[in-house]
Amino acid sequence: MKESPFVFPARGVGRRDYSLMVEHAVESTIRSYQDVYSEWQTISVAAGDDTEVDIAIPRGNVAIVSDFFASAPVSTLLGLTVYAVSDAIAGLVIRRTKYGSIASHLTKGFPFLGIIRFVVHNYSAVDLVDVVDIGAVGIYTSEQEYYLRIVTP
Amino acid sequence: MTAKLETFSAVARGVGRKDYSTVVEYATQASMRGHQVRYNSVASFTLPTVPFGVFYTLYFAFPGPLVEAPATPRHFYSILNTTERNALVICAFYRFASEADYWIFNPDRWYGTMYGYGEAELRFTNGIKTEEGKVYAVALAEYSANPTFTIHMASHSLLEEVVYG
Repeated sequence: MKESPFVFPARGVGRRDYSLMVEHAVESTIRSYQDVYSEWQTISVAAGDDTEVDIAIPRGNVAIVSDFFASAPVSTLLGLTVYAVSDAIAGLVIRRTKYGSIASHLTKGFPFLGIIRFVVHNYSAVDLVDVVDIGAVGIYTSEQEYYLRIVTP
Repeated sequence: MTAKLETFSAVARGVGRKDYSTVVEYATQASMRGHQVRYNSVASFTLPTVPFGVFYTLYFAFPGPLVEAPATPRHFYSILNTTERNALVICAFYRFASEADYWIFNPDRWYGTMYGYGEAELRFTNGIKTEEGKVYAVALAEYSANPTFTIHMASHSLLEEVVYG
């Protein structure tokens, strides 16, 4: 087929839309160049103490984490604090306290480029040995895709 | 600003029918498209309580002839296990490379474990996309002194009928 120019009326006010491709609205799903990011560990937390776990994101990749979990098969008050660590600077992402299970959902996710730092606190007087499951789930993509910009001539 | 209608020329690129639309709808609220199907299911199981025993239900990602069947991914958004007592329950979700790996419990991905009294839910904001040929399993268990328990597993997911390359 032959490409040809044609004329159509522009309606409305403001900047004209010269875009040649329109991205249709779909239910948010993982695209072909993305993967599911899912990292889980089972840890121990001593009574009244903290356990710190660092999960490294491989260089050149970005984990856009939308779901954070901490859960144990006990009715014990748990505290979950998640930091994003990059260039030795730790930024607070979430902080939650709840009995038994903590789930925190960020609709748009949070991009991690360096380290995801979990700090789990056990408020009880009982040691939790190898029963606390912590995890982060989201989208995994490359830094190049994450910083993709459309450059207009 | 005064609104003024005008005509201008734009170059049509590509093949197929020309797009004469004059209004562009921007992607806003996520909505279902024609090639997507919401898939919700609730399955109930009555199982014996085994000390520290955990049962798994099987999800075969895409059974059938793989040569002709289109690879239709399924996105799991929520898996919720609820029991009929105020007892501790588990909800865990795993992926296995093959059915043989499932039988020896050798998962290649662990998508999460949540515990809760009465119910436990794993909710994924962006969904867990299934892959062709893989086997998926949900853990079911109630930690109680009763000989049997009844558990209801509700899953909410999306079926894609078109795969984008």
